[in-house]
Parts: sequence; structure tokens; C-alpha cells
Amino acid sequence: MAVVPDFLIKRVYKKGSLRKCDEGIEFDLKNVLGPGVISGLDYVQINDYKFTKEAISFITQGIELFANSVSELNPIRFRLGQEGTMRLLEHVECLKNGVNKIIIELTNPEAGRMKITLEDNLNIA
Amino acid sequence: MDIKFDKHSLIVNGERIVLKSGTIHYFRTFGKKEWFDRLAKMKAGGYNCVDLYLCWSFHNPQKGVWDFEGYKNIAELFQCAKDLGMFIIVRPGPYINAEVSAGGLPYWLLKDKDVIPRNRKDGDYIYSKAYMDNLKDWYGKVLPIVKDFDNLIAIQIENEYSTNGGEVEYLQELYQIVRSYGINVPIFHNDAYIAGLYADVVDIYACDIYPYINPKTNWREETYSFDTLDNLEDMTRCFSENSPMFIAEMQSGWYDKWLGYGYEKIREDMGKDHINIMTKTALSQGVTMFNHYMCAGGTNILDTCSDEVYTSYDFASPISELGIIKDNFKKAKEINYFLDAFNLSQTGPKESDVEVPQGCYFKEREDLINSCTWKFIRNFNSCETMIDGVNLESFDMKILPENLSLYACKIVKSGVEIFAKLDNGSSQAIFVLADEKNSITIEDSSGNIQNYSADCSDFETLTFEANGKKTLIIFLTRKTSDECWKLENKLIFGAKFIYPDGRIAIENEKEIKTYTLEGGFNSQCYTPQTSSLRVKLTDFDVYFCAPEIEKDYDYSSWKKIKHNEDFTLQDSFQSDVYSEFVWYRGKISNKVREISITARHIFAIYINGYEILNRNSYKHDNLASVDEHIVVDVNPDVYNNDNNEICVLVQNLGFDRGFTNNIGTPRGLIYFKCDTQELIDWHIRGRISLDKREMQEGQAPYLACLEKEFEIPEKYFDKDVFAPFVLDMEKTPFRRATIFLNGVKIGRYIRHNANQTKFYLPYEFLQKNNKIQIVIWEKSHRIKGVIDFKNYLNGVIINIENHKVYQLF
Repeated sequence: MAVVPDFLIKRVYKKGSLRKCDEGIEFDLKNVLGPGVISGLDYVQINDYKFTKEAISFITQGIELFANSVSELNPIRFRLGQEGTMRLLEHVECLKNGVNKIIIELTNPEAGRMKITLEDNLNIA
Repeated sequence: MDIKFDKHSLIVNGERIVLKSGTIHYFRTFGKKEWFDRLAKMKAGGYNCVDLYLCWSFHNPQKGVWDFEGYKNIAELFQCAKDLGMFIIVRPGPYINAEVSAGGLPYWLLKDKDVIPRNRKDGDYIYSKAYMDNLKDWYGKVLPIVKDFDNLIAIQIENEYSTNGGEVEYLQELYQIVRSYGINVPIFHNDAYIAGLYADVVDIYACDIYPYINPKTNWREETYSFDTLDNLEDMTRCFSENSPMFIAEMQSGWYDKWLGYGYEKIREDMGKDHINIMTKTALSQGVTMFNHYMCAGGTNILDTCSDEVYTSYDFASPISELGIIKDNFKKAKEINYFLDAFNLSQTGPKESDVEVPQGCYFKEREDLINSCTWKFIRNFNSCETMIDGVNLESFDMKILPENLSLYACKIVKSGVEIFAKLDNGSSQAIFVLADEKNSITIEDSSGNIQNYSADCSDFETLTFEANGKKTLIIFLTRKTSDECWKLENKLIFGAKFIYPDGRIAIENEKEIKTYTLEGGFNSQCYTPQTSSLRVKLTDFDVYFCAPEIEKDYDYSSWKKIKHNEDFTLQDSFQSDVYSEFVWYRGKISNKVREISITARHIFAIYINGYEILNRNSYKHDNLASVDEHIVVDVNPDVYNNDNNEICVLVQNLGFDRGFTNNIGTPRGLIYFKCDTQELIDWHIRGRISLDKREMQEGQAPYLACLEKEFEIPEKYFDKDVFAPFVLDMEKTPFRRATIFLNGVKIGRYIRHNANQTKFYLPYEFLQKNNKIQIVIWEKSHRIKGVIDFKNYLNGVIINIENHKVYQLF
């Protein structure tokens, strides 16, 4: 099992935040669990489409970090209460009306790879 | 004992208390003498409680076989705490983590296919009746013992438990089982995620806080790791509004691993600052129940530990593995004495408009018992910083009183901390810590307010009198307070440690000063008579101890183990082999030129008595051991024409502790494939043979045993001498060794894999006349035969010596 149980880690996702944007797709996260370090953003998958590192960025505290620059030497420090936006920089038709499945795989220096599986409806507001 | 609680604190026999607890592991600290020593030091250092995991596998080596005798006698341990006037927190698991093999679940349990350990598989909740039936047997053995002790103050069910779905049924059942034994104290569970897990199932919600878990990082730079602690009250009050704030495991050290950084570095990293900040920040958040994990380190003997950790489990804890008081103990003592002086068990957060500089932390709490305010200030900057008029050193934290009324004066404001208080009803002495950069503002009984510099030397005193009562403010330097001990209504200065029965320990000739309100200061000089001992062990008896490797060894009585079509083998414990060392033997064709192998954790391959490969295959990453797959060529010179025999020896370092992974990761020989694709008729047996016999040329020179008898003079066992002994492997030429003291395995030495060359010889197993056996599993291509090996070993010198010698008076 993951270091943090599924039902807890899902709490970092802000329900209803999945949306289209000019660059592609975005959704929001908020760390409600505890101080965390992300030393790798491996991929994000929406339904059947997998976004690789080159097409992922994470915007937090006004800074945009690209997934392929995140490493153990250059980690994302995601503090308790901190918010961020995951941006997927590709225009692909992977979103659907109704429930979308989202998978985020990231790496934590102590725990290794962690997979977060989520579901959300597309926000068309 | 009547135990109640409300949102502020525990209320014991009608009195509110702050529970100041620390953990020791009796399965790593052995027997009555060590239990008394560690608990007595804790008590003398102001702890009022000891936290005790109960380790199932330690008592139940085989199904139906129970052992609660000798150093496994938990009733004597509980009694020892009771005799010292300490509460006990008991945590019977069934799972305890604690870096013990399989998290404390017995090996035989894992073999039962109907058992799903902890009702959890791959994180999903699956109820297993077979598991529950077995754990009821365990609870049925220990809970009746626990119930008999009225110093029991709380009991924990399970440990750091969670499932993917957060199901509560398992914890609910454990709760009911505990209650069914008539145990009426508060029940808690420790939530490792601080997410309110099982808060509705238990009486008191509790959590674990470990900001420093990666020695690669520096907590002084990564201060965000304190975020949770800094917000604990806000985070947890929403799911525990009616119970006290309880940190069931509050970090006061950390464990080192194989291939780790060593306890010296961890101790240096954490220092006394870490425990100071942890404990005071917790108090600032309203915590009134805390447990320093660990308070005393220990030793991994026998097969207790998980595959992650080596022999020393010092944990960089306040009391070291060898029982030595460390700097973080002195800091904990300082905080504990302060909490004895002023009961902070009923406080509430107070709004504050103080401007807090960047990198600093400031909290105020209203004290409903002492009718004052406590300020909690912390500096995470790398330079001295002023906060609310108080100078604070880098990475320091202070608890400071405001408007604290005393018998004959009032502390209006203070930049200095209170260390301890003596009080006889008419006079009181408040010992405060001198501080050259801060001051204390005091109002006397006439209403005069004066600011006093705290740049004072030891025992400088301010005296106030009013209405026949007296208050003394006595300054102590930090150095003096470090060796100051409170014993009832007396302070003792200059002792290395004291026992609550009044004995004081010194290392060298020393003047010991005491202070009482009635008699003032007195001093007496003490001269220890017992000096340090070094026993130099040379001229060992050397004998060959692995006949199993030899070509014609008869292994027909060994169990058969199936070599599967996919070249895997079942776990050694599935064949009832629980030993650290596991032998595998079988026949192999002379056509094999390449072998692929995976084994946990250290192994060697021998064909016809010749070593083919000897490998430390240990790797642990991301909280789990990682398999290594090795391919090795076989030199055809090792073969006969026919009847060739292969032998594999595997050393298992323990099961996974099972915190994040499924317990029961396979051990022993896991995968074995020859280039000929042949399957081996493997036979299996555990343990190393220590059969003594003469060495003969032609035997395989791979494993040997060094044996030597030695004496420890009677005086080192005297009740008034504390003199822990270590065995020093530093100057030996070995790469690997397993150490036995009087037949008890007390250490594993693996050069380069662990930062440990000195091995503690626990008092429980040390006698006046002793035998040490060191099994060497050496690899050296320079050694061509058994006689060479013997010559090589003949020059070995090993010292057994005191780490420290203290005499008690």
C-alpha cells in the first residue's frame, strides 16, 4: 500500500477543480495532510491519456515548476495548507462529460513512488 | 486509581496532570537491573510515565509456546515502574512496528494461509477470523497481566493503523476485547497521519509527530517539517474536542539503518535543540500528554529486529543504548522539572498582537491553574533574534511566564526560563536559568516593579518576603543545571545522574552540592573507587564451524523444498525454518556455467566446497528492502565428473517491519536459475553449527568460530557501580561476524554496512565467568586453506572494556 492511505491522500485534490484552460487542462491541489516533499512528478493520466513530464507543470506560490525539472535535488516543498495548480500543457481530447478518472504519480524521497487515483467532473463554469 | 479526562488533561484521583512519558523497549533493554536503571533515570529526570510496547513475537516463538520468564517477565517490568511511582502506558499491538521483525507478529502466524495480518492486504481491509483468533490468544495472555497493575494509565490498540477505506470494525473489535478484560483506563490509538483516524472509536485521540525522518536533510534548513506540530491544535481539535491533546509518539530521536549515517551523525543533527523545540512547541499547542519516542535506546539481539536496522538501536535517544545520560536528556529534564514546578495541564490559547519576526514562532496560553500567561517563543533563524523584547539564540525555544504570582512577589515579565521550584508551604525557591542577554521583571509585595539582569553566576539570589512568606529567585547557569537533579524537596548539583532512592552517581572525584529550603546549601566530596576495566582477548580457540559446506556432508535429514518451474523457491519460513542462517543443499550437474540468484539478505554459493560467490545483497530503499538479482559465472574447475553438490548459505536480517508494505516479504533463497535450466532437489535447514572439532587441511575455509572465556570482576556487578561493557570489533580484520555472549546472540557485525564497531554486552547476559563466540563469515581470496585461515585468525585482538564507569553513593 502507499505510505498514506488512498482515502487520505485523495483529500489533497480540490473537488470540482478540473477544468480546461488556454494551455490545456488544469486542476487544483491543497495540502491538508502535513508537510510534504515531492522529488518527482512522474506522470498525470486523465482517463486513457497519459501526460508525460514534458507536458506537466505545477504552479504554487506564484512559481511555475515544470515536472522535468523536479528532482531529489530540486524538489517541490509542499507545505501544510499550501495550494497549487497542476497544469497539463497539451491540447488533447481526453476529457469527457461526467466523471473523469485522474491518476497522478509522484515520488517522495522517503516513500518512493506514490500513485493517487481520483475522480472528478469537468468544471465548465 | 481513578482516571478521568476532559479536553484539557487527564485527571488522576481528582488531580489534573501533565503526562510526561518516554518509551523504552524491554525487548531491547533486558532484565530487572537494566529496567530499574533506565526507569530510575527517567523518574529522576522528571518523567512520570513509561510507555511500553508489548512484543508478541518475543513471547510466542511457536504456536502455543509462551515465554514470560526472566527478561521476558513483563509483570516484573510493570512492578519496577510501579515501585518507582511511575505510570505505565501499555501498547500490546498486536502490530507494533518499532523496527522489529514483522512488526512484532510471530513468524509462525505468517505461515498460516488463512491469516491476513492486521486484516489488511495491499492496503484493503479484509477481515480474517484466523488472524483475530490468534490475536485474541495474545491479548488473552497479556491483558490479564496488564489489568493487575493500578499504575496503568492508558492502553493503545493496534499501531499506526490505516486501510485504504478507513474501515473501523477491526479497531472497534480490539476496543471491545480490551474492555472485556475489565481494563477501564482510557483506550487510544496513535494516528500516524494526524487525520483523525479512529478518533470516534477510542477514548482519547492520539497521534505521532516525527518532523525529522531523513538524515539526508537538515531540519534546521527544512523547518517546514514542523508545520504539523505548529498547527496541531487547529488540526486535531476538530476531531478530538473532548479529550486531551496527546502525542503518543513525539520524536526525541531517530533510528539508523543498514547503510545509514550512524548514530553519531543523527545525534549531532538533532542535538538538544530538537527535543527542546519539539516538546515546547507541543506544550504551546495545548498538549498535556506526551511521550518521547524513544527515551532510552536498546540493542537488537536474537532475531528481534526487522531487516532495516542493525544491532544498535541507540535511537539517538535521551538515554543511550548503554544507559548513558545524553544532552537531549538534560534538556528533557529541564522541561520536565519546569512542568513539575508549574502545572500546565489546564491552559487555553490566547490571542496576541505581538509582531513576530520572520522565521520565528510565538504563542501565548492562558494558564487557568496558575492564573498567568505563558509565552512560547521560538527562533528558526540562523542568527539571534529578538521576539517580544526577548533575545533568542538561533534554534532555541523558551517558555516564559507573564504575571506569575509567587508567595512574596510576582514575575511580571521574563526573558529567562524557570528550571525548577522547591516549596515547603511558607517558602519557595524558584530556580531560573541565567541568561546574559535577557532580564526578569519582578513586582514586590509593595507594588514596586524592578527589572533585574539575568547575567548572573550560579546561585546569585533575589530574595522577597511578604506576609511571613518568602520567595527566592535563584539563578543557575546552563552548565550547572545540566548536572542538577531534583529529588523530592532537594536539589543536587554535580551528579552525572541520580536514582530516586537517593543514590548519586559520579565518574571522578567530585564535590556534590545539595540545596534545601530549610538547610540551604551543603556540600560533600566523593571519591569513586572503581576504575575502568579493559579485558584484552587474544589467543582465541579457533574452529571450523560450517561442515555443511563440505562436499560429502550428509544432509539427508534436511527438509525438502520445492524448486518451482519458474525457478523461484518458497520462503524459508514456509518450511518452518525461522533461523537467521539458512542452508540450502542439493545436487547440480557439471554442465552449469552460469547461475542467476536472488536471496535475502546476504549469501554465498559453494560448489563441492569451493566458494563461487559471497555477496552482501542488502539494499533498502523507499521504506522497503530491494531485491538484487546477481548473475555469476561458474569455473568448471570446481566440478568432478559426476556427483557435484551445491550449497547456498543465506543470512536473513529479519522480516520487513510492515509499516507500509505487506508483512512477510520472502526471505532466504528466493530465485535460483542455472544456464542449463535444471531444477535442483533443494534441501533446507536453519542455524549455524557451532560443533567444536579440530581443523583439517582440505576443509572449506569459509566460516570459523573464535571462542574465548573471560572474567569480569565481581565489583562491576555491584549495585552501586554502573559500568556498561562493550566489545570492540574496530581492529579486527573481519567483514562479517555474528557475536554470541554466553550462548545468546547479541550482535551482527557487517563492516561497511553499519556504523557500528562496538557492541554492548547487556548486563542480563554478562556474568562473572563468560564465554564469547564470534562466528566469522569471511571472504578473502588471500586465504587458500583452513590452516591459513587459522593463522590469520590467531593474530586477532578484541577488547572488552567499560564505556563509562560511574560509582553510586
